[in-house]
Order: sequence, then C-alpha cells, then structure tokens
Amino acid sequence: MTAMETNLSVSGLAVRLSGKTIVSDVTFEARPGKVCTIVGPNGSGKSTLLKAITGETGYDGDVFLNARPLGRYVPRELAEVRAVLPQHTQLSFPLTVQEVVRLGLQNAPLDLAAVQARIGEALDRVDMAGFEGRAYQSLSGGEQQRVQLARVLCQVWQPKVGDEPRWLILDEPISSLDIRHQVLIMDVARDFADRGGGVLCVLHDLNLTAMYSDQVLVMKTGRLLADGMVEEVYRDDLISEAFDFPLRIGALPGGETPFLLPQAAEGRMP
Amino acid sequence: MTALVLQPLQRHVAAARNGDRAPLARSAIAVLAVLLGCAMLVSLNSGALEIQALKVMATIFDPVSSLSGEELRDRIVFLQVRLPRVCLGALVGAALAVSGAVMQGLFRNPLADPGIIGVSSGAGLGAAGFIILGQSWLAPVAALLGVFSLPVSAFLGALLVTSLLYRIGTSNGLSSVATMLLAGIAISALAMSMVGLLIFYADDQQLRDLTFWNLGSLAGASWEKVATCAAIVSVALAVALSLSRGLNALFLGEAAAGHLGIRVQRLKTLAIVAVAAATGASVAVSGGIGFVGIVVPHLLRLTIGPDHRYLLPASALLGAVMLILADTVSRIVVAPAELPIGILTALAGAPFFLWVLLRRRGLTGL
Repeated sequence: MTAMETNLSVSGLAVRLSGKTIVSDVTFEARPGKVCTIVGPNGSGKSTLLKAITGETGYDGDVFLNARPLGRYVPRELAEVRAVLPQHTQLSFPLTVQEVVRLGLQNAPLDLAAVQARIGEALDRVDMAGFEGRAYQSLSGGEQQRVQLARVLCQVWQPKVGDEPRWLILDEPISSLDIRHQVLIMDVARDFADRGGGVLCVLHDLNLTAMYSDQVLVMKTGRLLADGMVEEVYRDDLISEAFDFPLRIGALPGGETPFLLPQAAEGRMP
Repeated sequence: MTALVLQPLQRHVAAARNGDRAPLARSAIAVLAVLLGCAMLVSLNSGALEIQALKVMATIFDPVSSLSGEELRDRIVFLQVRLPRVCLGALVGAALAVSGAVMQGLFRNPLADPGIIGVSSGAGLGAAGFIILGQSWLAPVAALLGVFSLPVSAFLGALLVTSLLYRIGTSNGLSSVATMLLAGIAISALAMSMVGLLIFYADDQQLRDLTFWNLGSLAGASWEKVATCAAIVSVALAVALSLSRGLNALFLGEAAAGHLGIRVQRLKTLAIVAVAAATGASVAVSGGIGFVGIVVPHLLRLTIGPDHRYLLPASALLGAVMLILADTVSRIVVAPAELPIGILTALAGAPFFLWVLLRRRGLTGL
C-alpha cells in the first residue's frame, strides 16, 4: 500500500435529513500525520459532516478510509481503524472511570495487567491519572470529556499499524475544558498525528485551530468554503465571510501563527 | 478461615478502589450460586407435608420395594410436587430477572421492567388467546406446536409489545422514562381489554384455566412445564449472555456503541427477541409475577456495578433465589392454603419501584 492511498478521502458528499439538505458537495482529503480541523459557524454542518464520515448517518457521495470505501468495512473492522469522540456522552448507568475507559479496550487482545496499565497510561495522558476509582457521574463536564478521550485513545492506541494509519475523529474535543487542558488535549492530538496517525476534528476556537492544524476546512451553510493550510485560510475576508462577521487576523511580530481577537472586530474598537 | 474469606475480600476492596469491580462481581456470583443451593433445599423441605429433602435424596436410588409406605409417599411428593416446583421457580426467577436487566440495558433506563411496561401483559394476552381459542380458531397451531403452543403464544404477544414499545418509547436511541411508562400503561390497558373481550368467547373450563393462570402461581408445576420452560429460557439466557459486551457498549449511547464496533441494530433485535422469549415462557407457566425484573438487577448494580458480563449471570442466580424464597413463603404464611406468589412479589417490589423512582427524580427530573 502506497502512502498516497492511506488517507481519508471524501468526494461529492451530501447529507439530507428528512428532505432537508444539511451538507452538500463536500470534497476533501485528510492525510495521516496531519491534524485536519473543520471550523465554521453554528449550524454550518460540521457535526453532520463528521457523522457521515463516521458512518453514523447516511450520505450520498464517496468516503474512502485508507483506500477502502466506508461501506465495505464491517463495524468491528472500522472500530479498529478509527475511534470517534462524540460531542456529548451521557451514561445510562453509574460506571467508574476505569470501567468507562475499559470500554475502549473491549476488542483489544490484552491480559488484565496490560489492560490496567493501558488504562492508567491513557488517563495519565489526559491528566486524569489516579481517577480510576471515581464515579464518572461525579466528575465535572471537562473531566468527563477527558475521560472519554482516554477511552477513545485506548481504542486506537497505536497511531499506525504496519503501513496503515489509524484515525482519531474528534467532535469538539475541547469545548468544555479550561485553557490549560485545551492545550494539553490538542497536544495529545498533535502527538497522535506526529506518530503517523490521522486526526480529523471539529473546533470552535480559531486560535487553537491556528496553533495545531496542518489543514483547515471552513464550512458555511453545509458547503466547504475553503480548504488549505492555516496561512492560506486565515485571511480577513475569508474568515469574515465564513462567520458573517467582520474579523481581523493578527500576527505577533516574529510569530508565525496568526491569531484572532474578538475585540478586533471592526466597529467594536474603542 | 482468614485466608479463605478475609484475604480475597481485602483484594476486592483494593480492586474496587481502583474502579475495577470485576473480582467483586465474580465472588458475588459464587456466593449467589451457593445461596441458590440453600434456597432450593429450604424450599424442598417446606410445605404442607413435613419432608426431609436430604433424607429423600439419600435414598433416591433405592428400589421402591425397600421403602416403607411413608418413605414412598415422601419420595412421590418430593419428585412429583416439590422438585418440579422448585425447578420451575428457579427458571422463572432467572428468566424474569435477566429480562429486566437486558431491557434496562437496551432502553438505557433502570426503570424498564417487563411487568411494568406491559411486556408481561402482552405475553398474557398471547397466553389467554391460546387458552381460549386453542380448541377452535387456533387448533392448527396447537396441533403443530404441541406443548410449546402456550409459551409460543405468550412469546409472540410479548414480542409484539416489546417492539411496539421500543418504537414508541425511544427516539434517536434515547428513551424517555415518561414516554416509556405511559406507553406501557396504555399498551397494558389495551392488552387487558382484549383479554376481557376474549372472555366472552370462553366456556367454563377455559375461564377456570384462565383465572387460575392469571393469579400468578407456581402451584401447577409439572415436569412437562419445567422441560418446555427450560428449553426456551436456556436459549434466551444464552443469547442474552452473548450480548453482554454489546449491552456494555450501549452505556455510551447507540452511536458510540456503533463506533466501538457493535452492530447496534442486530443487538437490539436479538435483545428484544430474547426478552420476549424469556418473559413469554415464564408468563406462560406462572402467570403474572411482577417486579422481579426491576428489583434484582437494581440491587446487583448497587453492589457489583452495571457490567453486563457479571450482571446478567448474577441476575439469573439472584432472580432464582428470590422467586424460590417468595414461593416458599407463599406456601407457609397461610398454610394449608397458598398465597399467589404475584401478590408477594408486588408487595415487596412496588414500594421498591417507587423508591427507585423517587431517587431518580432528584437526579434527572424524570
């Protein structure tokens, strides 16, 4: 298998839910070793696009994961190639943190000691070490989100198996985290990509997107408005058009990463 | 003694502190198995006639000619009355408790119980339909299925109600407690009224059968009933156990379970069929025995956690223990008469259900 084929490729994707078109004509390619981020205003179809790619909702068009059409995977195989972090997870019964994370290891051929070690390591990565025995429902929203990420990491522990990359698909992974943990979790995603895996995520924070992404997809009203590297996409006109709001991109002297402050909105300056 | 009890206990407490309740759950299952043995023995010993079950068992292979008249009487009561009844109690208890646990896992809701949400009523309608129409309209069915006709009719009734409830009570994989309970009330009422209609077609003998069956009792236990019930219940329980991992993944919701590699649609279908079969088989032999399916799994989750790999076998054992003990009490309290066992389980189970409801209301606002 050549490097060209091991990607996540989407072409002509459209999603219609009860007669309404939510996503249309989306074509892009995400590569392993890279962090690909989808941004866009509320209701622009980001989560629906992600749902189509994870096989959660029906779609028209083609989605190829590692050169294989999504529909040709049986659920078990798909679970071994990619893991999905949902936006919200509500448990139906009181589990401990350990039991939640272990759900990500259901298919892993590991003995008990290895399972416990893996759980400990995964929790350590998301800064939840030592929380194994806590009741999941007693945790704060941000802590719960990090435990879910530990579960998802356990599912695709090795970012690359042989030549075949594995994928992390994250729907707003840092939405309820404080700034330190936002950076920490994005570091985990970055690290996964650096070790050969692929990361596709939806983010709202445009500054963290600029800091961590190799590729940025901008969605607006169900279509792909732009697809490119941060420096290609982060332009005043493009970002302003995407969010229907005048925004200005700044750059620190000598710094490469563009930033964006809400106060920079035109007409709001003191 | 300390080596046998204290050390494992300390290990389990340490493991549970790390969030791993599996060792505790495994020990609980062993303890429940022992309890089941004890409950069976107690039940075999109790009843209108004093019998030493152990003594009868010790001489069970002795030829009839060597027994005194009294010993022979004891053996017949033991073999033809007590033993099938205890076996039937164990089967029905296990079936009801596991049905409850599976439904709760499937609906992602600790208040789902075959009795409360109308599955038992559906099974009841199926069974009543067969009792009354078995010699007329449904005679070909009776000829085809033989002793399985009654449980199969009950199964079909239960299956109909469960699938209907699942369609009404859940949307996007989320079940609303209120919708589910209210739909259950409506479906139960509908099933009851249809049973009422059927009564107009019944003759005296059928009416007597129906009334007796409806009270909920293990009194009519026979080896034939045990065999039919065992055949259906053991398959249903095996299917339920094979779904443990899938039901565990459902803790996270349907979409997330799919992402973990579970075939969710297949899981749901198999779970519904298994629940309908187990409930149908137990309702067919014992009538309406309520609340076992909610009390047993709930108590177990409080101690060993919700992991279905342990919850389901533990539910089967504790369900069997509870039903055997309830049946024993029902035989003793008003001896020589018998209390219908359904009255006892409801007496203990209904307040328990209210307690769970109140506790949950604080958490979720229902």
